[in-house]
Amino acid sequence: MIERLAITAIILIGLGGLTLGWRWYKWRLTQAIKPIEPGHGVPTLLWFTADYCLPCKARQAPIIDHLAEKLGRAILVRRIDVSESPDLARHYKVMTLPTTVVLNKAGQVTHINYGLAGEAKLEGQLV
Amino acid sequence: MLKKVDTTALKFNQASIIVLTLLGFLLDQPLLVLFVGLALALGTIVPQAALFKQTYLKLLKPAGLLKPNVIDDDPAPHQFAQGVGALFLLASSAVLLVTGNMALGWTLAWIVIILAGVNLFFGFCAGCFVYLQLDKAGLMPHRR
Repeated sequence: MIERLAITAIILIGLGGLTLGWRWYKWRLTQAIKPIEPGHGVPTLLWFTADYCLPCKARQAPIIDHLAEKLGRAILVRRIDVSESPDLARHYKVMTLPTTVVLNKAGQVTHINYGLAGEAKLEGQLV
Repeated sequence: MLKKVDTTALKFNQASIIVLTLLGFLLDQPLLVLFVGLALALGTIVPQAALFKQTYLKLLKPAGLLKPNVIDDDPAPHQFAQGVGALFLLASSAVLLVTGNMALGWTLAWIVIILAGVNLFFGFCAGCFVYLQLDKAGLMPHRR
């Protein structure tokens, strides 16, 4: 039992390390991505989606719509279909759908969210 | 196809898988892993017979211990993920009970624990991701 508890602890510590490593990797990504156009003077939310992505339409879309309505002109939201803009998706290191990328007022990437991003999380990153 | 999906039921399912499978590992009880695998397999084939979901619906939700969170979603990827989890756990228990290969058997069980944990705590469903890729490639059966 003690041996198995130790194995469990080692695995959990290893997973914790992987989590931290992933966060560090994402941070490095945000630093490495160069802006491809000037900032718009307000934070921008790039929302990468596709017609075949059901979670994008069912779950992410209502969150983004609500956020856009709530924050109004304080943010700019751009919906990007990865099938139509594969180069843009590649530039912003999109690996899964949905992916949301937050740009600051100067157009610099500040956050990348792989998978579904909740409203509170996005609002915290934008405002 | 969008339907109403209770994400609390999904989370309770994931938590049950993690707790019971981990308990099976800590107590060296492959039969517990087999039990979880069979429960998941039955729940995949006959969704209404899903043990953990029924526990949530019949006990925890009416008792007010857990609150529903119903959203529009496609249940198919989650069913697929559950089925894959069932396969891994059944394989794990088969390896443990028949061959006695502890390393392989418990590794298979730990894969399920870890992926269920990633889903529960980080919201990323690996099985759903695989399903969506297969569906995109036209490899999943057409659903109405």
